[in-house]
Amino acid sequence: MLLAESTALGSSIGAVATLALFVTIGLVFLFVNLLVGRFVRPHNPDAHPEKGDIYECGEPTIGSSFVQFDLRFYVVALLFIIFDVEVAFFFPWATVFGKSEQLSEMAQVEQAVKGNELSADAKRLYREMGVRDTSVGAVSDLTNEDVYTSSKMLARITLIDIGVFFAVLILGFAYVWKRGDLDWVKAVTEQRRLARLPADE
Amino acid sequence: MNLQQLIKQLANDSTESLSWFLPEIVLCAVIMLLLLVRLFDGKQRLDLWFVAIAGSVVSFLFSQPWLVCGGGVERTEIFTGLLVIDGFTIAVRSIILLFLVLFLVFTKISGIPDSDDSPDIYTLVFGATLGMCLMVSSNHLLMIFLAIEMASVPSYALAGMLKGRKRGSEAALKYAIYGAGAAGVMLYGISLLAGLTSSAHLPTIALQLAENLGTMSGSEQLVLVLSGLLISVGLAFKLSAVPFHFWAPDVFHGSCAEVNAFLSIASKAAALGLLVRIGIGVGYVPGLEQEVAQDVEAGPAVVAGLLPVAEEAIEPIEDSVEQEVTVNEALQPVRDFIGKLIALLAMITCTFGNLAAYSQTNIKRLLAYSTIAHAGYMMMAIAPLMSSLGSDYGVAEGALSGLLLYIVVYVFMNLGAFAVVAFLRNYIASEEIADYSGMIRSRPYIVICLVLALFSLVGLPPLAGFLGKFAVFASIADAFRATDATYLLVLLLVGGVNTALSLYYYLRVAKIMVMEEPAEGVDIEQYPKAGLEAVYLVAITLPTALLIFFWNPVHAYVVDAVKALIS
Amino acid sequence: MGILAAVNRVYWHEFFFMLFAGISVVFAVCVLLTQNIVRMAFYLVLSLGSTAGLFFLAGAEFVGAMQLMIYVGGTLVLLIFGVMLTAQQRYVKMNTHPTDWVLATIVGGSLLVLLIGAAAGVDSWKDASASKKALAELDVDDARTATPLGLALTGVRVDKLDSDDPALANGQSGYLLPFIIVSVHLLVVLIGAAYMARTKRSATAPVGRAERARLNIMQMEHETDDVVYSASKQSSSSLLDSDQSQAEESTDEAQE
Repeated sequence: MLLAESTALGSSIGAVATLALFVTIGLVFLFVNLLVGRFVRPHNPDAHPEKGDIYECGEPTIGSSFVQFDLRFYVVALLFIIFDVEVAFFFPWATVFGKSEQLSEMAQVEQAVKGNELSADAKRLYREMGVRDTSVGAVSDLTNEDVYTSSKMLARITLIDIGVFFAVLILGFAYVWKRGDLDWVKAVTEQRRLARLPADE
Repeated sequence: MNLQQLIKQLANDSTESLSWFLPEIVLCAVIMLLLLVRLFDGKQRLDLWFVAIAGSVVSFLFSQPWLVCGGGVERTEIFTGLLVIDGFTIAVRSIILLFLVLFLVFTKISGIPDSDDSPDIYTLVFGATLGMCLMVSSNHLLMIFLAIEMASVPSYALAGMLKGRKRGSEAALKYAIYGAGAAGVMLYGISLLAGLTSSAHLPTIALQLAENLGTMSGSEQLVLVLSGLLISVGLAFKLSAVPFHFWAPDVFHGSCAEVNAFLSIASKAAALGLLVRIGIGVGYVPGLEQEVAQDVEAGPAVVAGLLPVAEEAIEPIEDSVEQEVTVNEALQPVRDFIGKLIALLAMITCTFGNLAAYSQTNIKRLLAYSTIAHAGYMMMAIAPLMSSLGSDYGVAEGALSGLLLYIVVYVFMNLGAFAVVAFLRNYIASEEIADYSGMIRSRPYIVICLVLALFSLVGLPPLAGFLGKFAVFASIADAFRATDATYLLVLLLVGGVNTALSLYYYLRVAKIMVMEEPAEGVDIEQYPKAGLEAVYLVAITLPTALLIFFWNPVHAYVVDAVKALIS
Repeated sequence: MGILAAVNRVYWHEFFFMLFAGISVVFAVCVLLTQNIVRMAFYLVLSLGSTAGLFFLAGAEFVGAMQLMIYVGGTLVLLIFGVMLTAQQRYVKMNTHPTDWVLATIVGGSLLVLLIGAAAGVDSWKDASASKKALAELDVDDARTATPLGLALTGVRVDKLDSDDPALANGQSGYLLPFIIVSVHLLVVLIGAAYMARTKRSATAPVGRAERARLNIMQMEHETDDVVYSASKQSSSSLLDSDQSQAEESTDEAQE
C-alpha cells in the first residue's frame, strides 16, 4: 500500500515515522558519544585493573549486581499498577466529557445547528466523536435544543460514571493508606520486630 | 438513528436496568461499607461480620427468588444486551447469595478470618461473589471474560488467605498461574469466535451462526470448533473438569476448609450457570416461538426488550413462521457439538474424580476429588439439554431443572461436609482421615451430620443427593429415548457406575469415624463441647435429610425457573 | 522530488509491520531461550513494546498507547521488581529440563499450528480488497480512537450509526457496565494485593475462636513440615504428594 493512498494510514504512519526518527537519533547519539570517548581516552587496562569492572563510579563493586530488592518496592509497584490501569480509563473519559460540554455550550448559544444542518464546528466535533455521517440526512429535524439537552445529558452521565469510578478506587487508596501499607519506615520496624521474634524464643 | 437518540436510549436503558441489578449493587455497596467502617473505626469496635451478614441478607432479598414462582419472569436483556435476566439467572443468583449468607455464618462460627483481617477477606469474598452473579447473567463475550476474572482473581488471594504457610502460598501461586493460563487460552477462543461471527453478543452470535453455518467452508468450521475447544478450556478450569482439574487437590489441601467450601460450591454453581448461558446462548435462540405466535396474532408488533434482532434479521426473509423454526434447527450441529464435548468431559471428570479419591488420606484432598466428581455429574445434565433443546422441550426442561435441583442440593451437602472439616480442625488440629477414628464417641452430633452429608454425596435414596442425581439421570434417560443417541446411553452407564464407585470411599470415612476405636493417646474429654457448631451443622444438614418431603414445591420451583430460558 | 517519490514507493506499512512483528517475535523467542531470569524480563519489555507498534499500525492509537503505559510501563516494572525480589544466586538461572522442552514444544507447537492454520484458513480474513476499501474510506479523524472508545465506555456506540447490518447492530452493546464494575474489581484486587503483601501482625489478645483456629492450622503446618525435613523417614507423604501432582500436571499438559 502506498503512503498516499490513505490519509488515516498516512497519519498513523507519520506518527510511527516520528517515533522511528527519535529512536534512530537516540541510538546514533549514544553510539557517536561512545565512539568519541573510545578514540579520545587513554587505554591502559593493565595499570588499573578496576577499569575492567562493569560499573565505575569511584567505588569498587562488592558481590553480584543481582541483589535482593526490598519487598516494599514490590508493594508500591503493585499499588502503582492498579492506579496505572485506573488512569488509563481517564483519558477516553476526559475526551468525551470535554467534547460533550463543548457541544452543549455551542448549542446553548444556538451555534450547533444552523438552518437544517449542523454548523461546521459542530460537524467537526461530531466527526471527532466518531460519527462518520454528519450530512443533512443523518441529522434531519435537529434543533439546537435537542443537541443541548442530549449533550448535557451525556456530560452528566459521564460525570456520574467517573465520579463512581473514582470514588470506589480512592476509597481503596484511603483504606490501604490507613492500614499502613504505604508506610515506608513503619514497615521496616515491623519487619525487624518480626525478624527478632524467632531469635527470642 | 442519530447521536442524540443513542444518548437518550442509553439514559433510559441504564435506569431501567438498575432495578434488575440491585443484588449486585448491594454487593458493591457492602464492599465499600466494609472498608469505610474500618477506615473510621481503627480500634475495631464494630465487628465487621455484622456488616457483611446484613449486606448478604439484603442482597439475597433483592435477588427476589420468589419472582420465579409461576414462571413470571420474562427474558429481559439489561445494560444494552450485556446481561440477561430470566428465571434461571434469578434462581442461580439467589442460590449463590443464599450460600453467601450460610457461608458467612459458617466463617463466624469457625473463627476464620480474625477481626483484624476481616475487612480484607470479606471484601475478597464479596468481590468474588459479585463476579459469580455476573457469570450467571452474562450475555456477551466481554462480560463472560470479565465475570470469570472477577470471580477468579479474589479466589487466588483467598487460597493464600493464611499467610506464613508454605502450603497456603503454594496453593495460591499454583491457582493463580494455572488460572491465568486458562484465562489466556479462553481469550484466544473468544477472539476467534467473535472474529468469525462479527459479534460478541451471544444471541447475535447464534443468529449469525444459524445464517452462515450451512455455507461455511471446512476451514471456517475448523476455526469454530477450535474456538469452542479453547473456550471450554477456560470453563473446564473453573469447573475443575479433567484434564484441567490438577489445581483443585493442591489448592484445596493448601487453603483452609472455609475457603474450600467457597471455591467448591459458589464457584462451581456459577461456572455451571455460565456453561448453561454459553451453551444455550450460542446454540439456541430462545423466545422465537412466542414471537411467532404474537406476530401471527398482532402483526409485526415490536415486543419490547425481547430480542428485536430476531425480528429484524428474519423479517426480510418472507413469512416468519417457517423461517424462525429453521433458525433453531440450523443450530442443531452447534448444540450437538457442545453437548457431545461436555458429555465427554463429564464422563472423564466423573470417573477420574471418583477413582483418584480412593487413595486419599487427607479429608480435604478427598473432598477436592469428590468436588471434581460432582462437577462431572452436574455437567452430565448439559448433554441431554443440548441434544433435545430444539426438538423436545419437555426433556430439555427436565435436564435443566434437574441441574438446578442438583446445584441446590449440592450447596447444602457440600457445605455441611466442609463445615464439619473446619470444626473438627478447630478441635483436634488435624485433617487426616485416620485421626477421625472413633470420633462418634466424643462428638456424635458432628459425626452424624458428616455421615449424612457423605451419604447424600453418594446419592443414597432417602437423602437429597439421591434426588439431584435421580433428576439428572432421568433426564439423560429421557433424552436417550427421544433421540436414540448412543453417547447418552454411555453417559448414563458411566454415571451409574460412578455412583457405585463413589460409595466405597465415602463409606470408608464414615466407617473410620463410627466403627473404629479412637487413636491411642487422644483424650476425647479434653476438647470443648460443641455448641454453636452443632446447631449450625444440624441446620445445614436438615434440608439434605428432609428434601424428600418437600420434593414437590422445590421441583415446581426449578421447573418454573427454567421456563423462560428454553421456551 | 526524486527522493520523496522513491520514499513514497516503499511499502511503508508493510515495512513497519514486518519490523515490529519481527522484533516482538524475535525477543519473545529470546525470552524462551535465555536462562537468565533478569534478561528474560528485559526481553519481554522489548517484545511487548514492539507489539504496541503493531497496534499503532492497525490504527488503534489509544490501545497502542495503553499497551505502552500499562504493560511496558507498569506490569513489566512489577515483573522486574518481582524478579529482583526473588533472583538470588541459584534462582537467577533457570535451567529447563529436556523433557520439559519436549513437552512444551509439543503443546505449544500444536497450538501454534492449529491457530496459524485456523487464521490462514478463513477466506474472509484473507480478503485484502475489503480492508483496502475500508482503509481508503478512512479519514484522519478515524485514527483518533480515544473519543469513540470513551463514548463506548459511557455506553454510546457511535459505530452503530454506520452499521449496515441491522442484525449485527443489535449486538453492539455499550460498555457502561464493564466500565463501572471494573472499578469495583480493581478495588477488590487492590485490597487483595495489599493483604497478600502485608506482614501478619501477631494478634494482641490471644483469645476467641479466631485465634484458636489460626493456631491449629499453624500447628498442622509445623507437623507436616517436620515430616518433610526429617529426611531419615521413608519418603514423606507430602513430598510424594507434590511429586505426584507434578506428574499429573505434565500428563495433563500433554493431553491438552
